[in-house]
Amino acid sequence: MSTNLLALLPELVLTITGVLVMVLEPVIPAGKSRKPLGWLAILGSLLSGLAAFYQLQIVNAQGTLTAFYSTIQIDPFSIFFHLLIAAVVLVTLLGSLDYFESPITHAGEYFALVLFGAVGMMFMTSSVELLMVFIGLEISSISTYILAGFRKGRATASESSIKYFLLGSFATAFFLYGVALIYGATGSTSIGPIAAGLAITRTPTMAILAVAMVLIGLGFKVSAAPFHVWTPDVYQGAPAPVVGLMSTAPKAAAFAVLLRFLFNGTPMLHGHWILLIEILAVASMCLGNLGALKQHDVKRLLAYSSIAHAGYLLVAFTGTHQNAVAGACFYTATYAAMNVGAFLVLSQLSGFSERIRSIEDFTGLALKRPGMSALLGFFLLSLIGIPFTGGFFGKFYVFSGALQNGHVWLGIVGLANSGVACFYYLRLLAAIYSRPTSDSVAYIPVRKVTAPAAVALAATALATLGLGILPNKLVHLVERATPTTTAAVAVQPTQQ
Amino acid sequence: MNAFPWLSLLTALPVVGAGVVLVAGARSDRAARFLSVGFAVGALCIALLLWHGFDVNVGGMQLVEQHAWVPALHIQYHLGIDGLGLSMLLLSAIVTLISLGASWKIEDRVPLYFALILLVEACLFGAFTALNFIHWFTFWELCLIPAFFLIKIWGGPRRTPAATQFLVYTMAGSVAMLLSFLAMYLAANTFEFEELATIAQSGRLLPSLAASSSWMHLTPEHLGLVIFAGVFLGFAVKVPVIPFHTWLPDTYAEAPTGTTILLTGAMSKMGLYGFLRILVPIFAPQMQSVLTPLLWMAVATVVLGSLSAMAQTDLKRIFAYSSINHLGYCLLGIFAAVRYAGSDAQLLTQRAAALSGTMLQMFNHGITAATIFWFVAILETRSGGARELSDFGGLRRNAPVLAGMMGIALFSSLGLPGLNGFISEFLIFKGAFPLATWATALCTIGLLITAVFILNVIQRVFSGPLQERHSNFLDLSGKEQMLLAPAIALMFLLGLDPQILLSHLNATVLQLTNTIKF
Amino acid sequence: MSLFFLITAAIAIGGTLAAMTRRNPIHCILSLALGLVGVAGVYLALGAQFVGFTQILVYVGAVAILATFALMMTQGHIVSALIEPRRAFSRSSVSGFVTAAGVFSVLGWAAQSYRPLTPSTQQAPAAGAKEVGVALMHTYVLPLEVIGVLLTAALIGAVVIALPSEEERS
Repeated sequence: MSTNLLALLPELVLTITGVLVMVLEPVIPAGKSRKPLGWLAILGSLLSGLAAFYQLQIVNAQGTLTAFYSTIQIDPFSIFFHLLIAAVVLVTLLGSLDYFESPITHAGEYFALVLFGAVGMMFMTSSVELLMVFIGLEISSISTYILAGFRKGRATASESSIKYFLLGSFATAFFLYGVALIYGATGSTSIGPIAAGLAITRTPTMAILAVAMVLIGLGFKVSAAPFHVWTPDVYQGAPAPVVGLMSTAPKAAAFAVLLRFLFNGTPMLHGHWILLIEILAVASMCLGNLGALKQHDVKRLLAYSSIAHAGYLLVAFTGTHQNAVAGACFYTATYAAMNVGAFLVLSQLSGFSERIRSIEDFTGLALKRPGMSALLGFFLLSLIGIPFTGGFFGKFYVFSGALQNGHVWLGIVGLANSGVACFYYLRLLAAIYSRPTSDSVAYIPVRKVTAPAAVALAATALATLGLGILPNKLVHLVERATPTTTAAVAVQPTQQ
Repeated sequence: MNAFPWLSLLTALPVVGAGVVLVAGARSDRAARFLSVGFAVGALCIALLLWHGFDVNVGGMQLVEQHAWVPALHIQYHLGIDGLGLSMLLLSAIVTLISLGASWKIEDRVPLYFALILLVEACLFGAFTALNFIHWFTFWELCLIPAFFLIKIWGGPRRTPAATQFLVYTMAGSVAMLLSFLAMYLAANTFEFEELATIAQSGRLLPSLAASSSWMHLTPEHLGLVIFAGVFLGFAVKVPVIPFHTWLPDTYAEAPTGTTILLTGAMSKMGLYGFLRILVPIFAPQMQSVLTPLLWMAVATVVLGSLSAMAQTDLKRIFAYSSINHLGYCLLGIFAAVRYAGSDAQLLTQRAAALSGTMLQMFNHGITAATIFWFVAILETRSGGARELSDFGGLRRNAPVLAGMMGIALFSSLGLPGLNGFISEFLIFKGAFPLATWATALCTIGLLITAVFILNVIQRVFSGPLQERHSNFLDLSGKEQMLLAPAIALMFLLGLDPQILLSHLNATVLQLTNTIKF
Repeated sequence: MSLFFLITAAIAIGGTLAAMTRRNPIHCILSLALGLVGVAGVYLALGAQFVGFTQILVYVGAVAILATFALMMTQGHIVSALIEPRRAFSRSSVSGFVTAAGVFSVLGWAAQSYRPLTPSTQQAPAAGAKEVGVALMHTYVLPLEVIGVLLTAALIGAVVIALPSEEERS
């Protein structure tokens, strides 16, 4: 297999599956269930994960792969994120297979959009060319804009979609502006040449501005404060499985871009952007946790919690290069496992109509759905960061990295914040295990969890537990995931 | 018996038990109750087996199990016990049984309740055997979760704020402790308690701390104090040390009595265990440099704890504060022991007396407090939930056996010679008096006040006119007497022959005594 | 700064300003088209003929006209009635202007202090149709291909938004 094809294998598999889903969609008569398409999409994401795994074997044997005139770089770093994205997509698809009350139109489009979005996210993580990153970002964003508004006809859904679209496009514009400025400053949009250009430039002002613009753009995507205002509204209106997806996979991809861009592309400006990262991290942790304290809607609460978690993740960036990558990768993985899991439980509980929303609605849930309550409780405990869950090791890893690099204040603020976070997770947990009031729980249908959803739930729960008990395997992987720039420096754009 | 992983087995047994109780107990509450008692008895048997096989002449760790866990972060699965760990294991096993006995009348979601109690027991075993910080911290934190649910689901009318307060306070303390240990890890590159202690005692910890986290231009000494403060906070909340005690009365009062027994009998010992296992070996110089405030805290814990107990009218609150007061003596013993550096024979003897008194007091208080709360549970069940002092009176007439047995437990708490409480308090005072005279003298006020409020309880509950609604108050049945008798017997046994326990503690105390040099 | 640049820049800024301030959506679109023509002029002034003409063809010729037709054929008159008249100095517009002024002054400062790496003895690479084509088929072939996925996703999105679901139809 040629290097070019090999480098694109996971993306290719997903694209082909997505196209197949779209081609087969009209073949299925109207009114019939779209489930087979869902299974096809699941198969595709599974295969793409396997493809990424195959890439890992190749990279282990031969070292980093570059393809397409050094626009794509396949190294353990990008493969880690490919695997993560494929896993999140797989679990989301499994969980949403029975989410749509049949017969719902556009279910085929839903599956295709999830797949295409994943293609965009994967390109973001494997590309070392900022224009390519931008296209990936656009693909993933457009897919999520549409997915966020999938519960059409509900006011909150339309609001969610429109708000996300407007603010999201604004953010991508900032990102693009940053790319244009960095091109002006260094003469390239490729990570390696950018670093090389910055090394000899005498006036980095424009480059600093460019980095700030890129940070703003990606800050929007990962919902870091102060660019977080859209998050609660969008999460509230979007379907629960989609929120699980969009709060993890695109964020993971955006963090991957940030890691590559900041550490490999602009290491010369470390002193400048580290300050911005610190501000973003502290603001996200504090605003996220304080905002969550006064929420009543569970999805809004989890939205604020995800803002806070973006802050914890940004803390990882203050470590040394290797610590930052390892900490951020590990945290992304644990956060993906527990957050996707939490939203899966929500979608299983409330179904497509999402009748149960507020914390009060969850009062006494444990009596009616003991299994689901235990799962949700477990994910909440992991989000708090209790030992024996992935959340603990994630926080531990991130904060020890920051402390090691001398960011003691950040460590103190972060851990104080995880204390504050205790309050609101416990509020939900306490409600679940309270005695039911007369009108709570009544809405919650007692329905059987279907097999695919059960598999998805089990997978997320096991991943969260596994990362808390035996994190060794993943630690090994992320410790050597630090990307290098060597491969990208060599090739300049040529004209022949 | 060294090759066999007894300690892992001991920790795993209640976890398995919890699973079995949940599954097998789903159909019959009775089965759940008996199964959980079966597993707790099994754990006690293992603990007694360990006790029997323990080499009393070795001060270091025995039955060590050590495996790599996360090598990249220097996290190990490292277990081992010395005399202190062993006595705490035995105490946890006994207290769990008492707790199960006191919870017999729980009717709501029985299997879950008993499974959670077993989980707490497993976490206690885990925490008292772990020798690596992360390994230990895992159980320390995890212990909170079943306890939180026990309070939250089966607690009194104000259970929700109580449970939340309990968890948040302890978490806040743990967070500070985690930060301190992270700093030490970055300096010393290890999470092993023993290695950290060795490094600290050789004086290398402070310079490397200063080198690895030069924070706010603090001198190494001040940095050491900050790190110490973080760890201290974690333990101080758990014990609790006044002024970090505000969570305790509400929690003890609102928790179901069976859970209160676990909280006071075993979980509060986790904090003191931390003082002895971590603070004294690693931070003795720091403790010494802020000893005056620490001693004041001990005095406050003893005196204010007993004064608050006297002001209460709710039985559970009285004994909650009494618990604070009794653990204050342990603090006094620990703080007095680090008062003077050096190793002349007299100093060592006094220090050893204070420390063995402290360890003994931990065990004794566990047994006594658990038994007293068991009696409170019995009173509560028979009177239909009444706990106010004014609800009772004259019970001696109807229930002489109950009055007699509970009286013994109360006198043990008061420190009557011949019962277990006396020996340990005497040892602490004997050792602490020459080391920290003024603090010890002030603490004797606590002894007096304790006598006053305990006698008051005895009088208000058992003497005086019998209230009408208690006219057919039942005495202890034969079965109950049989169950309570071992606990009472243990009080006499330890009171008359404390050597049974001290012989196992001696080598450990000596080793700890010798580590205090700086 | 040549006179040609000043004129085209003025057209670009004036056009986009008008696009923001006009109340009638048709006027907005037409002024936006004017602004885009101005931007195309800037490209031409910089010698990027291909990009300049593409700008006119695609944005002015296709996008703006399409938007006009879309508005006229659907409910343009309703839209214009819905938009509330806005005061020029409302809080949001003032804060917007302040932010924009801040960003652009920093940008201007950055551009002012900017020194190119190599003083421009080197001729800037030509940006004609051929060079763009070669770059697209060579270095940037993957982005070009992947844009296909982007367009597919956008199309599916358009279908989902535009077609009423069965729920709405019934």
